[in-house]
Order: sequence, then C-alpha cells, then structure tokens
Amino acid sequence: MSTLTRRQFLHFIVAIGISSKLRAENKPIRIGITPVFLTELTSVLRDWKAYLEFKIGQPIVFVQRDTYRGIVNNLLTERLDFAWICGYPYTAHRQKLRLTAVPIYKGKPLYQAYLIVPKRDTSTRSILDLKGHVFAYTDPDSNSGFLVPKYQLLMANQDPNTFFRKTFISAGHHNAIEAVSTGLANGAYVDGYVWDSMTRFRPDITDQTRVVSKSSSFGFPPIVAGPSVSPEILHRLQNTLKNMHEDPSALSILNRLNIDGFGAGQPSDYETINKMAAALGNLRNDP
Amino acid sequence: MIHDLSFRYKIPIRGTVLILITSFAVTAALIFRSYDDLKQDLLSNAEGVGQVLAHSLVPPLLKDDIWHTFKLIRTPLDTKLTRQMSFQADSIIVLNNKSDIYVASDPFRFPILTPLTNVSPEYKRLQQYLKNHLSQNSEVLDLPATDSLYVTSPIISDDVRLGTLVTSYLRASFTPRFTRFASRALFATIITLIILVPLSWYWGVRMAEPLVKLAGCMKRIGQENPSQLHCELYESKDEIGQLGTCFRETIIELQIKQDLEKQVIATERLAAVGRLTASIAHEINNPLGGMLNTINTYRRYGQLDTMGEKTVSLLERGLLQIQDTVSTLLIETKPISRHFELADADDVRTLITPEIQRNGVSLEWSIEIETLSLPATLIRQIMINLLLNAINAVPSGGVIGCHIATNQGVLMLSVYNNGIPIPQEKMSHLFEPFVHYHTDGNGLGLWVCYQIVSQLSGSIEVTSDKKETRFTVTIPLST
Repeated sequence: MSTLTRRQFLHFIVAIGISSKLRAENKPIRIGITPVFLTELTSVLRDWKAYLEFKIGQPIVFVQRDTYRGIVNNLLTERLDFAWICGYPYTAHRQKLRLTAVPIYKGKPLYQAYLIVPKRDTSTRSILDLKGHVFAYTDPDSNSGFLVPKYQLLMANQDPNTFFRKTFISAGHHNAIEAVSTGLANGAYVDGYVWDSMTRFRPDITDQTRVVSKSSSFGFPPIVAGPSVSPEILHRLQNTLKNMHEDPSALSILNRLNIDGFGAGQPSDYETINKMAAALGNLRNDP
Repeated sequence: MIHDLSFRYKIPIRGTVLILITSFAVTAALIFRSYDDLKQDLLSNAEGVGQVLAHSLVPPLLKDDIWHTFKLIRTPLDTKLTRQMSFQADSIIVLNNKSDIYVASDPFRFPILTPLTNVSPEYKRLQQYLKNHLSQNSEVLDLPATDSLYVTSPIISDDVRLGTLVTSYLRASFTPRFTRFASRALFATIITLIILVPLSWYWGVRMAEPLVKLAGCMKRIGQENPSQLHCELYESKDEIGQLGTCFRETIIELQIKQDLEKQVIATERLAAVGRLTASIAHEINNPLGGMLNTINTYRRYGQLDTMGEKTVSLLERGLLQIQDTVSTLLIETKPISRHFELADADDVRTLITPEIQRNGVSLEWSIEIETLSLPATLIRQIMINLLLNAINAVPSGGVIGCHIATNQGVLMLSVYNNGIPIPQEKMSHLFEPFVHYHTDGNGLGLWVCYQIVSQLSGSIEVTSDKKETRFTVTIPLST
C-alpha cells in the first residue's frame, strides 16, 4: 500500500513541477500539528502533505510542536493558518477559532480518555486509588490528559493540587503512556485514540499498561482555522479533508492515521469540555 | 618415593613441574594485571560518560522536567543504541540534594521521591558514603561488599548543585570480557605447555640416559666377568662423559687385575703340584731302584722255577711301568750337556713324520734359528709333546705347524693346529697332571712341558678358537 502511495507521491511531485509558476504565487498554507495523534509517524505526515498539496494546489507546511500552547499561540497570532489541536484549547478560544474538520473515529467524531496504570498494578480501580502516587499529565492544555483527571478529582471532592505526591508533564499522550509503562508514573489519563493507535504501532509499550477505566465521550481533537484564514481556503481544506475517505489514494493515509475520515464537526460536541473547564476555572494555572 | 625414582623420570618431572609453575604464574600475573587495566579503562570511560550526562541533565533539572530527565538517562541504557558498548550500565539514578530519587532509569526499582536508603542495604551504604563524601567531581566508588561499582557525577549549574547522577555498573559485567581474555591467555599457556612439556621430557630423558646406562653397567660389576661387560657409554668431555671414561678404565684395570690374580693362582697351584709330584716321584723312585736291583740279583743268583720266573717277571714289568711314569714326572734341569741345534729340530721332524703320515696331516715347518743356549733334550721334549698333541688334535687332512724363532734374547716356539678348539672349561686346567685331552696318552704331556718351561724361567701360553689352537712357549736364552 505504501508503494502505491509513493508512486502517487511522484505523480504529485510532477504535477507540482508543472504548476510551479502557479505555486510560486501561492502563499503556503501553514498547519500546526500537536501530539493529539502519533506525531512520530513522519512518513504519514509526508504523504498527507503531498496529498493535500496535490488536492488544494497550494504548498502545505506542517509545523510540529510538543505543546498545545505553542501551536495555539501561533495560531492566534496568525503565524499559522490551521492547527490540529485538542478540544480544550479550542473551546477556550472558540470565539477566534473556526472549526474546520473533525476526525471520524470508530464512526463518530468522538473519543474517550483512558485512565492507565502500569500492568503490574492490578489493584487500582479508579483515579482515587492513586492518592499519594506519581501522576503524569500529558499537557496543561489537554482535555483527556489534564482536564479530565483534575475534573474527576474535583468531583470526588479532592484537591487536584495535593492529591498526588508528584506530578509531571510528559508533553504528549504517547510519552505519558511510555511513562506509565516504565513505572515512571503510577498513572496517567491519556487520549484513548492515541492509546488504541499505539496498540497497533507500539504494542510493546501498551502491553506494559492496563486501562483502568474509560471516560465518557468528548469531541475529537479538531482541525481549526485561525482568525486570518479566508473562507475560501477554509472551505477548500475542509472539502479536501471531508472527501478523503472517498478517495482511494487517501485511504492509506487515513488507515495509518487510524481514523475513518473527517467530518465538518459541531461546536456543540465540545460543550462538555467547556463545562469541565469552567468548573476548574480557578485551578487552571496549576499544571 | 620420588626420592628413589630413576633420574629417567626425576629430571623430566622436575622440568615439567618448573614449566607448569612458571607458565601458570606468568599467566595468572597477566590475567590479574589485565583485569585491573580493564577495570580502570572501563571505569574512566564510565566516568566520562557520567560527566557528559550530568552536564546535559542541567536544563531539564532546572525546569523540573521529569520526563526529559528520564528520557536522557534512559538513552545510555537503550540496548538498540548501545549494543556495541562493552560495559553496559545497570541503572542510572538522579538524586536530589536530599539524596532522594529524583528520577531513575528503572522507576519500578527506584520510584520517584523515594529516599535512596529505602531501596536496598547496598544503596543505604552508598547513601551514607555520599553523605560523608560529597565530591565536587566525578568519582568511581568501589565500595567493599557491593555487587556494583558506582560512578557519581555532580549535576552543577552555575556553582549550584542541583543533584547527583549515580550510574551503577554490575561487577559481573566485567566477567564476559575478563573471561574472554582469561580463556585466551589460558589457551596460549596450554599451547606453550604442549610444546615445552614434551621438550623437557625429551631433554630430561636424554640427560638422564648416560647416567642410567652407567648405573646399569656398574650394577653388573661383580655379577659378570669384567671381560664380558660390554657397555655402550656416553662419549663426551662433560662430567658424565668423564665418569664413563673413568669407569671404562676401571673396568680394564679390574680385568687386568683379575687376569693377573688368576694367573698367579694357576702358577702357584702348578708349582705346588710340581713340587708335590717331584717329591712323591723321588720317594717312589728310590725304593723302586732298590726293588728292581733286588729282582735283578734274585734272577741272576736265585733258583727260579717256572712259577717263580713268571711271578718275578710280572713284578719286574709292573715296577718298570711305575719307573716309567715316575721318571716322566721327574724333570730335572741337568747342567747343559749340549745346546739345541738346528739338527735337533730336524730330528724332531723325523721322529714325528710317521705319526703325521699315519694321521694324514700336513705340516708347516718354519725354523729360523741356529744354535740356542738351551738344553737340547728339554727343548726336544717340549717340541715332541706339543707336536704329538697337535697331530692328535686335528682330524685327517688337518694342518699343524711349528715355528721357532728368537727375538731379543728370547726363544719363541709356537706349535699350532686347525683342529677342534679346546673347550673353555678345560683351559684353566690344561697344564695340570693327568688331564686327558685325548683318550689315549697318560695326561702328562702338557704338564711336563709346563714344568720344563717353568724351570727354564719361561712361560707357556695357549690361545684357542675356531680357526686355530696355538701353544706359544717363550724362554729367555741363557747368556
């Protein structure tokens, strides 16, 4: 399948060569990438970029950062046009950001947060059993890796700032999973989609973890447009993404991204996140 | 037991023991030396790695970034990256200034924020050591009774100590490299031994062999006749060679002495027998003469009937036979009546010719003398006796010979034949009276010869082998 993709990629290169004059006049579309998915899959990004350039007819630049905050700041200050971010920063800045596309995962634009512990820990039944332990947060701007555990503790009348003996930021769901698998952290809440994907690509790591519980569903991390993006560009990207699942040449990319495709998404899907964020409002600044 | 062992084994065994001790001592020294070198090399290497790692840990520690600190300290342990490294760290720990674990490469063993003392008794000792010796430099801790060696490196930023990096290396991880080296050294030693041990055995045996032979030969002295002792001894000018030469000389002297002793004994015995025989012959001869005179007188003047005549004749014949025998035994060197001349030799030849012809024997005759100042009768008797013996000793068709010559005032008379050699056991009794060499004869021929030669101050020798039997008479010529 990847051979086919490579051949197609060559076609794209030729096509881009022909339209090089046209491209030179076009401003590249800059898309920010965060650890909402397995950013280590460099070959997927390369193929996806080539695909989008071919479909949209404009150069694409993927900008990768380890934190949501860096990407969101760049998006708000118009150094980026689009970004694939978590639902939490999206709801926080939804006045300035426009929903462009939402991945469809297991048939829905939704995902769950998983509470994971090291495999050898067989006693933990909920996050409350981890009192006085070491806990890994994926990112202070993450819904599943930060907002969910803090909100759960709050609901259980615990102070998230003192509940654990030690917490640290792993910068990414895959790092949090690795931290739990090695025993560095006694537990972490991670993006269920990332954990599921890792069972496919790095079973050696996920096998060393145990999923204790799964949260209710939240809106899947969306691809959003920054304030300066023209509606025309937005629609072009939106349509390209939405049609990917119907394009056989894009199926390999979707398959490796471990999603079914992209949908337009509803801002209302992120209402739960918004409510949790509001509840945690005054705790917001304690990572 | 080894004390009584032959030099044939003693020398090689000693050589082998020496070689074994030397090789194993050298090998052991080499192995221990290289173990030390190896350890020093690896540890200084580890110290360098620790310093570099401690330096790169400063930024994440300043930010309290546990995840990146963890990733950094895991890198040296990543088996994919460090497969080529011979000396693999067992664990890496970052301690904060309270000696609590900030983060460790193996969080299950070293959980975050656990005091180091709680990990294990060994780490408790390490923690106590660190508390008392907080070094500002990297150092290698070779604490007694620990399974690991520890390399500690301070993590310092702008003169502020952020913590300590502790890298542990299992002592056992030296073992594979050490074993590899030791087995190589041992292999070389064994090869050396395979070459040296047989060589030392060969040399040892070669060195011992002359001694062993000499000893074997010496053991045979006293059991065997020295003349029969044929020893192949080692020829050299070294001490053993000298010993061999001395031994050979001793054997020769011993043989001469033994021969001399035998000769003296034989001469004395013959002289004694001669004296005894002569005195008995005298004692018999005197009454015998009287008895014969009496018989003569009685016959001349007595009245003898037939019976009496017969008896007297019988007595006379018996007495004459006794007289014959006794007179043969009575050898006296009378004053020289006459010197031996060439004509005497011719007479002897004429006398024996009928015997020679009867037995079909050929004669070799060689006389190289004129007149000798020796009594003719006695020399003639010697010649006749020896020649008659010779004729009897050879079968028909045999050869006998007689050779007479003078040399520096000595008569050399030899009579020889090519007949059957004289048996060894008869040789020593050859010149005794009544020794019968042949069935006929009275057994006095050689005895008489010996007596004559003795009285003339000469000597008689006999040699006998398959080729010829030769009697050589040597008599000094009287002046």
